Amino acid sequence: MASKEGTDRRDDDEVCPVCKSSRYLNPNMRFLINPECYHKMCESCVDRIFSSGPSSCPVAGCRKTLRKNRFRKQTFEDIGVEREVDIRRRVMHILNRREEEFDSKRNYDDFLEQREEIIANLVLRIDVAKTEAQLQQYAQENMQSIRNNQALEEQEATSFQARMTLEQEEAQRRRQIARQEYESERRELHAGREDFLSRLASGTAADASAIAKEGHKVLLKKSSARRSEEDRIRQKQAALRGSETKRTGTPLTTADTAGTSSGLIKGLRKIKTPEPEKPYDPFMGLVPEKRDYYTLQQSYPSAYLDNLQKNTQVSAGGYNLQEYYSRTLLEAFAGLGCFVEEEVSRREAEKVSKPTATEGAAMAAVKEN
Amino acid sequence: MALSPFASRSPSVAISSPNTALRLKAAAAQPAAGSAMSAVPAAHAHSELTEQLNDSVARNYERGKKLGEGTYAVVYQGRRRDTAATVAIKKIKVNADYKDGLAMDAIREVKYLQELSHPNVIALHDVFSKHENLHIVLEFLPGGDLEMLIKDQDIHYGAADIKAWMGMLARGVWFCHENFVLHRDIKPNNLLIAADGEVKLADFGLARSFADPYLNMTHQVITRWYRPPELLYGARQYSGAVDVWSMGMVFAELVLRVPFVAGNTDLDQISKICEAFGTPTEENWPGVTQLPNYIPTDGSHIIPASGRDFFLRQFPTAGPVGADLLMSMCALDPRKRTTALQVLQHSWWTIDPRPTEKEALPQKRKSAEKKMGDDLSRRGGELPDDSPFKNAARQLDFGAMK
Amino acid sequence: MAASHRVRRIGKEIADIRADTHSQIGIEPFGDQDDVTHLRGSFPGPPGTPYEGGTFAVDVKIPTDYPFTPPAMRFETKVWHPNISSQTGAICLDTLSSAWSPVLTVKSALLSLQQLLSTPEPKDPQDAEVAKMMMNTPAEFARVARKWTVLYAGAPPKPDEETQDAVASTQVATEEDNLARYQGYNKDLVDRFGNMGFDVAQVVDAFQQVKVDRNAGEDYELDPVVMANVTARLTLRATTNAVASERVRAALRRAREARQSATPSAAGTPQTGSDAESKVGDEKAVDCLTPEEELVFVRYYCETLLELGDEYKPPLPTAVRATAIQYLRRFYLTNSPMTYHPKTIMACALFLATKTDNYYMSLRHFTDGIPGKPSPDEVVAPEFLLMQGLRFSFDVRHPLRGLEGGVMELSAIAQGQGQPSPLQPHQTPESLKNGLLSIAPPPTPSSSITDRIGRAHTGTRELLKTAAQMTDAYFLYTPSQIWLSAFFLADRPLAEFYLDTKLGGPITPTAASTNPSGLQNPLYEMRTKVFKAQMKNLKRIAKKLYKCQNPEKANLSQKRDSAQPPTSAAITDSGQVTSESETERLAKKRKLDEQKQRGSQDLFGPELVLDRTK
Repeated sequence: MASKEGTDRRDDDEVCPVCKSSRYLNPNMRFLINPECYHKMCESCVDRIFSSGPSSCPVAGCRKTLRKNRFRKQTFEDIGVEREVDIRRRVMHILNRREEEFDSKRNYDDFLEQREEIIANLVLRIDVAKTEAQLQQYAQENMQSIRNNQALEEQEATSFQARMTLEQEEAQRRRQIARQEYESERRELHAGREDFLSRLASGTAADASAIAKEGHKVLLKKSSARRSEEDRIRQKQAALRGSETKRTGTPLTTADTAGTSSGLIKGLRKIKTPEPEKPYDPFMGLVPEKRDYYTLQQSYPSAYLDNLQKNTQVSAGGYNLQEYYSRTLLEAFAGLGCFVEEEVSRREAEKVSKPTATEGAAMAAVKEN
Repeated sequence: MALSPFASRSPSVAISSPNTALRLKAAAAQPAAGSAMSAVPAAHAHSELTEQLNDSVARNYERGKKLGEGTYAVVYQGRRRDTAATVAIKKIKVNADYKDGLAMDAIREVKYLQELSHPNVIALHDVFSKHENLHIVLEFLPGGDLEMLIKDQDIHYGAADIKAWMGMLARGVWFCHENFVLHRDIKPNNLLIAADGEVKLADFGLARSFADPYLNMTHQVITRWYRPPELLYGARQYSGAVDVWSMGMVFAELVLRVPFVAGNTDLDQISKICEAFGTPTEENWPGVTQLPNYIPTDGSHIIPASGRDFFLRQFPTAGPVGADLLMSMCALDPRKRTTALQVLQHSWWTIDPRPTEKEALPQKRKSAEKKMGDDLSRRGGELPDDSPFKNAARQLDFGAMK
Repeated sequence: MAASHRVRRIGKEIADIRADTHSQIGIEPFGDQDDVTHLRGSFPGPPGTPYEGGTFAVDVKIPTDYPFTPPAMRFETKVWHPNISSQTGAICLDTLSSAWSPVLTVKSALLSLQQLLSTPEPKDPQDAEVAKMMMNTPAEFARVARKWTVLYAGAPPKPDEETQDAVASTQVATEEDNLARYQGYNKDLVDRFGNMGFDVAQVVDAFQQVKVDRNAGEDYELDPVVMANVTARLTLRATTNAVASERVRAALRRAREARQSATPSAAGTPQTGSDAESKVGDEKAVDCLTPEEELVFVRYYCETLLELGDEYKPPLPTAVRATAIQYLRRFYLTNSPMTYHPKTIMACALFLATKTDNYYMSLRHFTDGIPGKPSPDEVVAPEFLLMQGLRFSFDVRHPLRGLEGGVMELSAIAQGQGQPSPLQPHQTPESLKNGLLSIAPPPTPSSSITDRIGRAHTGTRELLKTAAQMTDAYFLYTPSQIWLSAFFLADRPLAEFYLDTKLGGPITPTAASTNPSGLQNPLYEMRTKVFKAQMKNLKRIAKKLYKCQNPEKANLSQKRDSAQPPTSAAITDSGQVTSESETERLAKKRKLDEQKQRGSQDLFGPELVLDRTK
């Protein structure tokens, strides 16, 4: 990133091609460019010419219509570089496939090469119209994927940012802890020494060495405890970081790969979008109450059944004439269009292994012959 | 479903079907040579045609270790020779004491299972005889049963899991009813679990077809705790509603993790049902007093039918919609009880939480593994003797009625 | 003792063979009239093989320790066969070596040689050259075998054979040659069966056996009954019959042989008189039932079953009876009445049907309803066998309930309550009712449309109860097709109207196959047409069956419970009570059983031993 000062400090004798005023006379003068034509002009000229709406470029020979809001500071001194960077940014924005979307490294490399070629074409103005069209088509077809990858990038950027801040905070806290520890240790040491001295002062000489040893031991214990504590923290952080990278490492698989239809990019991995869950079918595919030949009625005239309908004992037991109707009519037409001879010949045709469930029935049927 | 037997006018079957003629040829002692020989098996065949057909089925299975034994049957693990698939082979004991030929249980089980093919109904692969014993080849279901899951305090499950299990149960029951078969013994230990977690309706020893008018059926069916009030009152003509009640009881038990109404005797069962759901009266159940074994309750003891609040309070896990469904399955009057089809059409299935995928459902084996720890790992996947399937034999046992 | 035993046995065997004209096996002393140890046997080449028409002589030498070692046999006639040396006539057959058993006889050995001719086994050859030819060029093998049969076994050369032989090198099969295979039957007629997957030879064979009219080689529509008989010949029933026949023959043979070998040791004095008597009877019995005869016989018992249901109070439901009938019919697809008499199976089928069709009654109660009150054990004894014969598929779907549904819907239409079928949404209750009222009048006039529907209902029920049960309809059509075709027979305009409301308008070409007229066949084959005609035969068949009933399967409850006295279980057959001979037969069977269990070297031992150890 080039700094503001960097551009401003150069070339005191720079002259605005429109109003011809020079930096020398006006040290605060700032130059702006418009990525439509990359013609440089000073801020006041831009204000003057484009404040009232879009207008054509004042540079002789350039007919491009420019808008004020597109004007910006020039980043690179070389206008060519500036342009290339812009193009690159735009193309990369569209062709933002990620490595994990490709079948192989090779395909990804091909993609990168292809992208460079497109950029080069645009920069060097080769086949601009065609390349632009290609790019547009791709952008349209892969809108979703592009957006997803952009989101992904953003996410990565923010998560990177977050991680950086997290790490910084962590480091700060560590430092603070270390400092505190050091402080407390120093205090303890100090106190210990005082205690030691006072004991030595009050005690006998024989005790002196023992007391000295003890004091040393306390010191050791403290520092080793601290070391192990530090280890633990470090391990924890490492683990944390590991899980962090793992989480961001898995790409979102919602991307759809319909874009391959334009054929611009090859070797994209077929991403299987998990199908949206179908609603639960309590019948699991069977169709209830499917009847071809009749419509079941609430009741049928039948003298034979009249007695039954009047019998409360029977109906109190739950006997349901509807079930009888349903059964008789089902049996009246079940298998009407099923012809045994045809079935047999069909079975002959496909006598390759059948599911075992029907095997028994088939065997049973065969014996009939 | 085989609707009708196949044609004798379709001779191609007799001649070239792999199931009969070819096997016959194979079974015949000497292969026919040259075109001079017809499809007739070698004339000095050692057994009748029927026996040859039967043997060709029997030869396809090999029997493995015993998985369990009950009073009516022994269950073995088995293997299909052609596909190497694991199966359970149930050998029906020939009971010398039973003078009326093959027991009804076995006949029913074979008859109805042969007709029903559904993911939530245990599959019957084959039936054959060997040494005058009936062998039923069934789907191998190593995942234990719902009862074990309910009882195992180490297993925790939630509303989504209950919904998944109930969904599979309801589908199985609905399919049976759609084919006009009553199961008549729905209870948690008849709901076996496949390796992939699918719950399957098993033990069709009490099943029968229904819907015919003027035909009496026995009321002595369904294990007591799951028996609906109309059967306790001795109704002789009933409908699919009896299975729906049992289903409701299983639902309640899944939520509570104890049997909901567990009477010690039939009478006790009735009074427990009254306590829980209210006393059946002519108002809430017209005609109930005319049922053969109806026991009148004196006016002071009439408990009003429990409303929605009761179910909401009692079964909070099910949620308000689930409680509604349960309530509709526990209607005292079988005519007001919801049907298996209506159960599946209920809105409970589609609201949150979504039923757990069957593979993700809690399974017995995990805790078994935990318990047996090293033992299992040392054996390398082999099921220990105390495996879930040990229970299967008990369930497959027809006579093990409580 | 041993020597005289041998001579006596051979003498009996020779007498036995000579008494049996049916098998066409010949035996004579080889040289010296008195020398029974060196014989010459002969038998005709089995039909349907290249050896047909020839007579094959076999050199038989009886060893001194006969019957404990097999007779030495060698073909005298030169034979082109993989298991027979084309040079020496040596035979490769296990019956004559390792598998020999003392209960076998010279006759049975000769029969097995005859059998060997029809079942060559090139994988275990005696003559490698022949075997090689048979495996590589079967046509050439058949040609040479035929040539040798004509040359050495005295088979009359067929006219076309000679010419064929003459041009054999060029292998030109002319059109006439092909046509010759049809033996005077119309080619298209035969090919209709051929298209079903049968060999022309098989079909022609079946035609001959069923005595199909050649109709001077013209094509014609076969009568359904004849058609059914031909297919019975060709299909599973024929296979069943063939297997059973062979087993009956073998069993009778075994019974006789057992008796023969048992006799000398029993008393030492041969009871030639009684032996010869029963022997003659047995040999006659080997004249087995044909598939058609079996079919007629089973049909009769189906009819009986239907009537049996009326004996109960209340009468058994139609569905139970129908199920029992279908059980019986299905059982006899893979079992022969020669093996298991329908009378025993019938009661059991009915009992099983009460169990599977939810009309359960106790066995005791059930047997009380059967005339003659058989013992419960007798009824239930064949149950397992029956279930095995049904391959354990108990479910039978009847057209009866479907009829009720259809009639209910028609009644609703008649009362203006009809609902449109989902495929015909334009229908309204009114249009349906008007349509119903405007159909052609019924065959017999009726007072109202309700009356008409009721009558059609009754008529159809009756058809379903009788005609549909007596035919193969259940094997060929779905229940809905069956009730609709019966309905069609009962009231054609009504049935057509009903189908039209379902399928829409006049029957379209795609729906043509659902047109009941295409389904009538099984129902036209009704008792009037088939049954009465066959009734005459019944007695004859019953008699014949009595003769060829497989003795080993004769009594099932006996088999189950050997403690029971045999007399109580004696089979009564169509009024011919033969408890005496039955007792005798059972006694023989027991003897045979004992022998089986004793000798592990016994030919029939392994079967039993396996049963035990498994």
